[in-house]
Amino acid sequence: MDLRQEMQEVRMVFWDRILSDDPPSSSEMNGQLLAYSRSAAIDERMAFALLRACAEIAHGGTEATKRNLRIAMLCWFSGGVSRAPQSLRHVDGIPHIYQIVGLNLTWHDAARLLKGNPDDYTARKRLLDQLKQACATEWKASFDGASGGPFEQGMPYA
Amino acid sequence: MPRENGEPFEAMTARIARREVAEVSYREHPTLEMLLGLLDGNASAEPRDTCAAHLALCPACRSKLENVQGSLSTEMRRLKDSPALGTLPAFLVERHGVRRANALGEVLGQAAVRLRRLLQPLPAAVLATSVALIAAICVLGPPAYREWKAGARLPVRSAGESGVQVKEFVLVGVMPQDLSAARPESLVQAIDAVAGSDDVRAAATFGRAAATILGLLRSAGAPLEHPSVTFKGIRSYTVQPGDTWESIAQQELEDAALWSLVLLLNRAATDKTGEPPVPGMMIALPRRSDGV
Repeated sequence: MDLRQEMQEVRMVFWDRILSDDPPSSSEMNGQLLAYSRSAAIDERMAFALLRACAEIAHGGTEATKRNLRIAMLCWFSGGVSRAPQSLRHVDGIPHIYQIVGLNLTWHDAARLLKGNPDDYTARKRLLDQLKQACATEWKASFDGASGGPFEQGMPYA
Repeated sequence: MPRENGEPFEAMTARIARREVAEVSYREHPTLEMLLGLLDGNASAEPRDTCAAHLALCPACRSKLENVQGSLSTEMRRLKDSPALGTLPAFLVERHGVRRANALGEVLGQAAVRLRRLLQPLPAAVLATSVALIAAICVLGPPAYREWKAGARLPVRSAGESGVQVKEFVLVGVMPQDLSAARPESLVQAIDAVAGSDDVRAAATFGRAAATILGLLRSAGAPLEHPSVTFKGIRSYTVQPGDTWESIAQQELEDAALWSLVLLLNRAATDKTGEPPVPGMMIALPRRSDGV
């Protein structure tokens, strides 16, 4: 396992903790990830900034915002290779990320899973606006940028 | 805020997350115990978090965990549907009695030690012949065999009864050992058969199966029953110099008669049938509901 994969695993521990309402502190994340991220490729830096932004919201947001953040995370992390939703049979409460990988949950599915209002799509927009701003701030703070980097300017389509 | 000229933010976050859960090539994977610990909720924070992170990045382990969960659900349904069977310790007590349960542990130990000393230096073919010979002797029920059994403090049995046990002992030898295939019914057969058999492999099989069932019960949070106390969960204990299974049971569970339960719980880990626990080794102990 190379350094990039090790850092991926470290971030995954932090992602899971955010989802489980035990968000890591800034010092924990900086201690393990910042030095690596500063010299890493742009995708790694973006992952770090997004992680920090999510942790920031998980620390300081209202209960509703935190729940919406978890819903959004379930949607993001459930993407990718499809698999049958059998792992959800055993889920009682907030799932771990490994339990939702590949399930391709929609906002509606995820909101129902976390017992939120599945039809409140404005909540989704509010969260994304807040998160985008937080990502830009974290990017500036972590990578000494004058701007919020790709989170403000957008990434060119591959 | 500057205008976006590329990928929208939401698509960006989803892309980052997909990349975050991309498969990682691992050299080491969590053990079955670690996976059970994760399901159990008893694992401490760091190994639990690391294990969960590993699972997010490793499809093979996710699949293994799902299989374990599936087996666990099936086993728990079976146990629930079999009220007469009860949990393993209760079953041991009910079916063999506490003294018989203790005698069972004792005979396993003595038989294993005797046979190991006797058979270890011999090649496999000679071992197989020896086992066949012992089986033949048991079927015929000669006085020497009964004498040996009396020495092991098992209840006296008739020659005919021994024959039945030998057949069962063969069944034990082929009893499935993996988690998905272990069934309470087969464990019952194993307990009955091993109570009258003198084979190391059978003893080890029995120990593993017992530990498996106890593990399933533990993972499902089912309390382990005993006539006088109820056990809830598992705790660890580091073996001290001079400890025996009996002294550990007395000291830690306040009941020396529970030594066979302690041995059963740890048989799979130690695989040293009947021998005293090794100082420094960490063993599992049931946690009593009254806090002991």
